[in-house]
Parts: sequence; structure tokens; C-alpha cells
Amino acid sequence: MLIHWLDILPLLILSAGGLAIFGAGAFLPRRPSWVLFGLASLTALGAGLAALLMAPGSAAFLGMVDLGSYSRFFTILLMSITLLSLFFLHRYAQVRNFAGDELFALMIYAALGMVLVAAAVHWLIFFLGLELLSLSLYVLIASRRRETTALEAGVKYFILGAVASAFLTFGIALLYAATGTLEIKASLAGVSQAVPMPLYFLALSLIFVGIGFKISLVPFHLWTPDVYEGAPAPVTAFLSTGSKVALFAALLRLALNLGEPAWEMAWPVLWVLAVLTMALGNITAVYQTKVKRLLAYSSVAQMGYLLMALVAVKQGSLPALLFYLTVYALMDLGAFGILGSLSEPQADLDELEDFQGLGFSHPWRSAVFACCLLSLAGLPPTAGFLGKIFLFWALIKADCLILAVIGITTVVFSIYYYFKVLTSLYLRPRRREFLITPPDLAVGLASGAIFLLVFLLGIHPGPLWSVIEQISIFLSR
Amino acid sequence: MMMDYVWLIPLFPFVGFLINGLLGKNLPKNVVGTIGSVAVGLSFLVTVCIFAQVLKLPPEARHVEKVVFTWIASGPLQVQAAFLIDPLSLIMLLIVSGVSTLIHIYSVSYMHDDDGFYRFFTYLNLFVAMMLILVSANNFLLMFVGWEGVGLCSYLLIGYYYEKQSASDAGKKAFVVNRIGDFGFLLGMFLIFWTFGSLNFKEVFALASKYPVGSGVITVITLFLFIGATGKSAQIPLYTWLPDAMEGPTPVSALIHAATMVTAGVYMVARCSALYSLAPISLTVVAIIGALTAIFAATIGMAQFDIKRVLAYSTVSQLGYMFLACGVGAYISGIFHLMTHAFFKALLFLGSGSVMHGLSGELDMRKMGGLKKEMPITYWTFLLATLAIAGIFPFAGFFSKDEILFHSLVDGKAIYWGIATAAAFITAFYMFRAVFMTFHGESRVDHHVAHHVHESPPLMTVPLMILAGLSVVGGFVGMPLIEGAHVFRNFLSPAITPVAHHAAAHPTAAFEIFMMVFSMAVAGLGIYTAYKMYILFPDLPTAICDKFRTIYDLVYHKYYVDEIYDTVVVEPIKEGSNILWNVVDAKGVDGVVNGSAGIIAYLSAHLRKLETGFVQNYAFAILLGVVVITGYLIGR
Repeated sequence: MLIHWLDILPLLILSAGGLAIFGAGAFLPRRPSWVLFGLASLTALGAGLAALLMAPGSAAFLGMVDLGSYSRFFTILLMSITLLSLFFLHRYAQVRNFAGDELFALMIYAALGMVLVAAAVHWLIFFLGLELLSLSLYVLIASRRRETTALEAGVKYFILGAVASAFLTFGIALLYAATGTLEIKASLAGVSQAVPMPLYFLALSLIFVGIGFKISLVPFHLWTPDVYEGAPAPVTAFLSTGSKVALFAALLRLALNLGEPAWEMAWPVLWVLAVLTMALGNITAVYQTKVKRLLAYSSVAQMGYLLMALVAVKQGSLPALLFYLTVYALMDLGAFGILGSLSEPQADLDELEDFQGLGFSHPWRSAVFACCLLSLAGLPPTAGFLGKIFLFWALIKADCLILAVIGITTVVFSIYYYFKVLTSLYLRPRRREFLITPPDLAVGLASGAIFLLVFLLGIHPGPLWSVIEQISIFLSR
Repeated sequence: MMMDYVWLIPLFPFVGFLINGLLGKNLPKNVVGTIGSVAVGLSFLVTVCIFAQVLKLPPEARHVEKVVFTWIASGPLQVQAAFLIDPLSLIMLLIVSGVSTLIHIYSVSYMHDDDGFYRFFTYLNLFVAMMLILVSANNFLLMFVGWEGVGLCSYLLIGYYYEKQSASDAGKKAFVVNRIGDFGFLLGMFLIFWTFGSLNFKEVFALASKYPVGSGVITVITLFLFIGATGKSAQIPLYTWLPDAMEGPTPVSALIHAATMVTAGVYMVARCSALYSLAPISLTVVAIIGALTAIFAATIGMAQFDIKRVLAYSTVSQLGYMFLACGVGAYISGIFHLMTHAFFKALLFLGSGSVMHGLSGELDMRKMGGLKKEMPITYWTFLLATLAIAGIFPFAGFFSKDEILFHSLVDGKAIYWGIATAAAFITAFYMFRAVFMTFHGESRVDHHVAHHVHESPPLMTVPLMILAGLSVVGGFVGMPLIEGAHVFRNFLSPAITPVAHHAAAHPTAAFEIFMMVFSMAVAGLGIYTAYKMYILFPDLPTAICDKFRTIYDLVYHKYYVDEIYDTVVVEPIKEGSNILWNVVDAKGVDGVVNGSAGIIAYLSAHLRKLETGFVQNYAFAILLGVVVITGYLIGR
């Protein structure tokens, strides 16, 4: 059998890039961080370009990895996220002295795991990708190993992640027992008389819990604020966007492949969890005084919006979901990335009071931060506004009016806490001197790109939308 | 082809607006003034080039639409950002950009000592850009953009001296009154889209031509549009804002509140001639409102002492003439008068500005007099403009006004002609009253002002002279009597849809000549009356006022219209708003909002207690979730 290795070129580039960074770390004296950073960036860029420019010859690689437009879209998106995260991370890690080869290599391996998760059509690859991603993230979160908060966050995420993995693995095993196949599509599609239903549903719910933990759905979200707060801010940016986008891509694939009778049983669960996630995420965020925790709850709520639209995925909400995932990645990455860039070497700025007057002392980065917050809140003319419009519009068209009304109500609540941050930035007097490190070119590029894209997608979404529509049409065939 | 660059016309002033608005604060005044004037001047140049090109085209080909981009594409609503080049829009473009250029140059000198110099030119450039969009749009919506844009600039410029309470009040009044008219315009536009499914002029007019004369829907549309016109062009009942608008700097009064913006309503009616010609009822309304406004405002003008207010009421009155012309179907005469009026009224305002400049800001004509010697250029140009507005042969106003009088008798009713002739008499009277009180007789100037009365610098007097030249010769393009010599009519008629007359009786040349002589005689009588009252027997006015005290008071207080509006409209609305605010909003709406915010805060404060920080608790929550979900799925 002929194996088309070139079809999985992005994966190969990522694997080789990770090894190259480790190699550079091992053989170069003093391990200059700019070389490691450069290698990592080139790897991510190369993988993204490979996915963008090279059309694979077949639909799937050995029945394991999907090579279609859906996977290519997510590969490109995930590589962009990785690249932007690296741009934010480099300066941050350099100043705080943890810019080693393991940091950059693990970023690349985490990215590889994400791509595998998003592209897997086989439970084995899915599980492998997820574990690769999780293990890399555990270390990345704790990469400032002299900081107790970072260690605590790493350990918490590790323990709970292990619990979730256990559920997930068990779920996959049960699914195999019930259906006799590890191919995702086959295992989910047909439920014949021979399949024992309780076993099948137990398997599904356990798998769902595993994924729900990773994308912080209520009630599996409790780790989120602790981990986001403890991890270095650029890593949080990576974690809250990359891993969520990848896992949501997988969840979308599962939902689309789920057969009719099982979907009829499953969507009420999604409905309830969406309401819980939106409501709890937004309401709990209101009382937070720390910006990182506030943003953590905000990202929980954002996942709630996506889950809400997932309920209508069989009635054509797929393009809206893909659009919002992209926009979410952009604005959350911007928010956490700037948060990292606007930090002082000793500790990240965190209390709301610390941000007072920042809008005038550091106008450029504050402007990007503010635009990401406005977009998260969903105000025009940002991408977040249009993304939410698409989500709710798709939902209303699918006759899920009640869910849409609940969702819009929680969005209204959320505006309050985003403006709490904005008022601190711009309307309150400055409380103290800042020792914020000046940005380097990479941070400037990344934040400039995010700033432009947030407005561009909010005003002129046409090009991205048409790409997404093509993917959706292709997928629903 | 120059026509492809028609978008440059509004772009130049807009760029000037951006430069002056963003950087003007730190630029020297000369640079700001130069940028502003050159930007508008370039627009004028482009317009002239396009005009020259259009003249080469055969008359039936003089309708070109240039699409810049598709602005709105939403289902059946397709709106383009596109320009229409036809005789009507070209005439308007020439007037607007030409007069604007002169007034910009004048302003450089006039506003030179003002601290907000850059702000003034920023607003003024934005105004010109918007006005040019208004007159060159090829659809109602883009026209409305300009319509609202000039309204905004008018508000900003009336309230330019915002530290003065009366100025900011006047700005607000202008804005609010205009909103009422705009609401009518909007309704008209909605109805047009609802009826014809398009907002493009050409498409709408083509579809409308299939409707019968007197069709109900077109009558309603045109009436709504006319409400918009009464707001913008200061006609009864929405004229009250224009006299107050004189709080703005004088160049603003000349440009916005005399020559250009206030004529937008006339332009709009002429632009929609295809619709109005199908609606005889609307035309009658337009004619009646126009005639009433013409005489009503003219009478108020007789009793004012503030020179700019006299001119303001005169503007309202002259706009009434233009509407009267449109109302009897003589759209071209209306536009003709619009053009000549732009010349001489801009000149009158700039002249009054020059007087103010020389008298340290004095506006009261009772404190002027005898300025002829000190300010010769101002005097002579002002006098030429006054002769023009009074309708004396061969000045510009004679031709246009005479045409309107003629058409109101031939195409309209005798009563229109009667009113308009009476108004012409009054116009001649109060305009010469202004000239005599300002420039002739004994000097009544305050003595501490008197010793530095001076003629204005050349930057101000040169625009005056150019406008004076135009006021003299501007009417020659509309030569009556001789067949084919009415260049203006020949040029404009392809853009205008005439009213279908039953059997147009063609009056003889002798009749026309008689009409001209008659209207000249009326104007001459008005001038003589003013001469008698203010030069020969200066005590006569007081005596007359004392004799007819009640009537004089009524006129002097502008028929108490402002007070009536206050009691009937403004106060009840204020009262109603107070109730809405104190009861419905403060207690009802705020109560609900604050209540729900309170609930959220309460929930939030308690929900965060879930966040214990213990991994065991978190794991327990996950387990709980697993149990509930699997329980539900399996148990069903």
C-alpha cells in the first residue's frame, strides 16, 4: 500500500520542528532564546502555510486523520493561534527568564496535539492527540517552576485533567465494546438493534464529560479561573484559545456524526448545559475583582454561546459556529496576550485597581485590549458583535427561540463586567507607577494584527464567511 | 473623461475637513485658511471642467450616473454611492462650490482674530462636502445623507460661539425644528421605497410616470417630501429657526442660511418635478405656502432693526418666491431665482459682515448711518445687491423675480400674483430702508466706535466685488422675450418634467413687457416710500408707528409666532417629558433595571463561593455532572 506522506505535511513539520528546537537546546551553547523562538515560529508558520497551500490527494490519511477542508481550516486557524501566542510569549518569557527550549518545543507539541484532535477521525488518534496536548499544557502552565501559583495551577490542571482523561478513555472503551469499531463516524452513526443502548449512552456521556472538561462547560469548569490565574498570561492565551478551538472542532465533528436517535436524546443535555454555562459564567464574572479570573469566567461564558449554537448544528448553524470560533480565538488571544504584555516583571497585573489609568500611560496596547473586550462583549463594529449576530440568527432560524432569548439576556449582563475593566482603563485616576516592560516587534505585530482583524471581520466578514460556507456545504454533503 | 472624477468634487472639501479637523489646532491660521479655501476651490474647478464637458454633449445625453460603489445591498434595497450629472445638479454644483469658494476666502480675513479659526474652517469644509453630496446624489438616500450632514453643520456653525447662551439655544432650535422636517422627508422616502421598490431618482421617476395625474400615493409622497422642504428651507410653519440662526458668524449666514443649504428644499422639489407634476394638490400646497411665506416674512422684515435679521426674513421671503414658482409649475424659474438669489443674498450678508467688521460688531441699524463715505466698496456693492433683490432692471434679481411674477399670473392664479407683487413692494421698501439707515443720513454710530470705522481689507472686498459683478450680470442668462435667448431654460429643461397644461395660452410679447414695467413700477414705488420715510422725513416712521401701535407691535414681535409655538408645542412636550422622566423612567424602567442588576449581583456574590480552590471539590462537581448526565441518558 502506497502511503502519501506529503498529505500530512503539516503534522510532519510540527513533529520535526519540535525535535529541532530540542536539538538546538541541546547543542547550542547558552541556548539563545531568539533562535528557539525563531525555530518555533517558523515551524508554526510552515505548518500553517503547508495546510493553506497544499491540497491533499485523498480524503483521509490511513483512515486515521481527516484531510478535508474542515481539517485544513482548523489547522490554519490553530497554527495562527500558535504563532500569535508565540509572539506574545517570547518577550514575556525572556524578561522572566524561562525562555528555554522546553518551553518552545512544548508549545509546538501542544500545537501538534491540537491539530490531531481537530483532524482525528479515529478514536485512537483523537486520544493520542488529546494526551499530547494535555501533557504539554500541564508543563507549560507550570513552566515558571519557581512560582508557587504556577505550580499549583499546573498540579490542579493535571489532577483534574487525569480524572477527565479517565472518563474519556473509559468512554471510548465502552463505545468500542458497544459498537465494535474505533472509527469515529462508524461508531456514532448507526445504532442498530444489536447495540446495547445503556452501554452506548454511558459511553457517549463519559466522552462528552471528558471534552466538556477541556472546554470548561459548567459544571466541569471550576478549574478554569484557578488555572488561568496561575499560568503565565501568554500560556493562558494559548490554552484558552488553542485547546478550546481544537476540542470544540472535535465536539462539532462528533455532533455532526451522531446518528438521529442518539442526537434526539443528546441535544436536551446540550441545551441545559448551554444555559448553565452562559448564565453561571457571566453571572459569576460580575463579582470578580481580578481581571484574569474575570476573563476566565468570560471565556467559560463564550464557550456557553458556542454550545448554545451547537444545539442547532443539524439545522444549519455550522457556518455561524465556525465563524464565532475564529472570532473567539482572535479576541480572547488578544485579551490574554495583551494582559501578559502589560505585566510587570515581578507579577502580572491582576487586580482591577492595577489597571487604572493604563489607558493613558500605555495607549496603544490598552487600545488593543479595549477592542478585544468590546468584541467579547459583542459591541459593534467589532467581530464579536457580528459573530454573536450570526450565532443568534442561526439559532432563531432553527426555531430555538427560548434558548436564543436566554443567551441574549446573558450577553446583556456580560456587558457590565467588560465595562468594569474599560472604566478602570480609561475613566479612573492612575493609582501608581507602572514598571511595564516595553513591547518588542513581535508583540507589536501580533497585537496590531489582532486589532485590525477584530475590526475587519466586524465590518467586512464576506471573505471569511464565504470560505466557511464552502466548508459547511462540503461537510454536510 | 473628467466626468469619471465627479467623486472628487465632494472629496476635496472632505479631505480639507479631515486635515483641518485633525491637525488644524497646531497649524498656523494662514495654512488652515488656505487649505480650506483651496479644497473648495478645487471642487469648483472640477465642476467647471465637467460643466464644460457636458455642454459639448447633445441635450438629450446630458444625464450621466457615475457609480462609485454599492453602498447598501440588502434584499430589495439596493443603494449605490453614485453621482448624477445632469443640468440641474450641475447648476447647483456650480452655485454651491463657486459661492463657497468666495465665502471661504472672505472668511480667512473675517474670522482672522477668532480663537476657533480651525474649528470654523473644519465645519465649513464639512458643510461644503455634505452640500455637494446633497445636490449630486443619484438617489434619495444619499441625498438624505447630505441633507442630514448639512443640518449637522448648520447646527455646529450656528452654535459656533457656544459660550453664548443665545447662540447655543439657536443651534438647538435649528436642529430640532429641522428634525421635524426631516421626519417628513424620511416618511416620504419610506413611502417611495414601499411604492416603487427603489430609491434611485431615474428609476423612481420612470415608474411614477405610469401613474395617473392626481394619484393618491404620489400626492402623499410629495406632501411628505414638502414637509422636509419646509424645515430645511424655512417655510411656514417651520421657518422660525432661520432668523435665530443669525447667531452664527456672518459668513455662515451668507453661505448656509442664504445661498446654499436653505435652498436645498427648492432643489429637492425641482429634482422631484416628475413627482410633483403628477400631484396637482401638492403643487397647490407648495404655491400657497410659498406665497404666504413670501408676504408674511416680508412684513416682519419691515420692522426689524438688526441688519442680519432683516436679511434673514428677506431670505425666508425670497425662498417663498422660489416655492411659489415651483408650485405653479415653473420649476426652472424657481431654480433661476435660487441662483440669482445666491449671488445677491450672499453679497448682502457679506456686506453686512463687512459693516460689522468696520463697526466692531455692531448689528443695530439705529446705531449706524452715514457709512457711505468710510466704506465705499461695501456701500456700492451692497447697493447693487439691493437693487438686484428689489428687482430693478437690468440687475439679476429683476429677471428671475419678474419670471416668477409672470408665471404666477399666467400658470397660477391672480391671487398668487397679487400676493407676490405686494411682497415685491415690501421687499423693495425694507431693503432700501436698510440701505438708507446703514449708509445714508447722519451718523448715529457710538462715538467710541466711530473713530475707528474703516473699510475692510481686500481679502473681504474682492469677494464682494465678484459677487456684485454676478448680481449685475447673472440675470442675463435668462433673457426674456427673445425666442431661444433664455439660455438658462434651454440648458435646464431636459432635467425637469413640466406640468401637463390643458391648453397653454401663449401671451403676447406686449403683455410680457407690460408685466415687466408694472413690476418695476411697484419696486420703484417701494424704493420711493423708503426714501421718503428715511431720507426726506426721518421723523415719519415714528409717527406712523405711534398711529398704528397695535399693528406695529404685532409685526415687531414677529406676530408672536415663537411665543405661540412655545405655549402650544414646546411647553406641553416638556411637561410630558417630565412625567415620562420622573414617573415612567425613574420609577418604572430604572426600578426594573436596578432590581435585575441587584439580583445578578446577589447571585454572583453567592455563586463565587463554589470556587473553593480545593481540587477535591472540583472533582466532585465533575462526578456530579457525570452522574446527572448518564442518569438522564440511560434513565430515559
